[in-house]
Amino acid sequence: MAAIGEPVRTHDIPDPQEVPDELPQTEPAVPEPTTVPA
Amino acid sequence: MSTNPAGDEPLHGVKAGRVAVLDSGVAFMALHAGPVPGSPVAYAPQAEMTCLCGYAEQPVFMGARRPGRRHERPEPDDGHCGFYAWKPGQPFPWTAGTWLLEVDLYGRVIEHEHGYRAQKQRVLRISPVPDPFCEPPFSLSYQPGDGRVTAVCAACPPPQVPRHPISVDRLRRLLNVEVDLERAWYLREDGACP
Repeated sequence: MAAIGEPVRTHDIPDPQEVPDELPQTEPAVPEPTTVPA
Repeated sequence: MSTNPAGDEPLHGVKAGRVAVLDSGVAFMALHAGPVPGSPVAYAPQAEMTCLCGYAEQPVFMGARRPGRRHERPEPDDGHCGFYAWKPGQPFPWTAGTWLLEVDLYGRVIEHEHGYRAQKQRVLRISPVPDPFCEPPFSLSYQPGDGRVTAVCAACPPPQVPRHPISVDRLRRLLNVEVDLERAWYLREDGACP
């Protein structure tokens, strides 16, 4: 313990998120059809 | 001492350790681990700490048996358990035959002046520390029974006891960490601490 010195701060760090090997494919957003008033 | 609840990213640290071939597979060993395979200080590339504080205490005090302490996570003012690592850039002694481990630390992490004591650790990259007169290229091998994986160079004298060769690709697949045979050698040659 002496080698790393005195404690100075405490951290609570969440588990890192697992990064998937391949990003999921997402459908391109389809724009809403525009209606033209007659 | 203060708390820092806002930090979400793992803290990066460096440390010295050993890589050993055990009956149960390939694992990392703390430098103070004994020669007995399967020691409780062997750990996987991604691991949560096991508290050993009770091992260091007398189970009987003035005739009364008391239960050994066991921590779920490091406590700043009680015990010495957790994964230890140095802060990057902090000089520390390198010993031939050990490995340089670069790690991420998370969960409860006690930050000290020169290093960390963490509940959880993930080893990211490893590099063997060769003898001072060794030069690349290096090769890896271990001695069955002893189990310690070490690096040798082409000029190293042949071992008195036959050793089992290990390929870098095989070690990388078994541990799922990056293996760089020359990183520690370059850092030491350049006089740069990790």
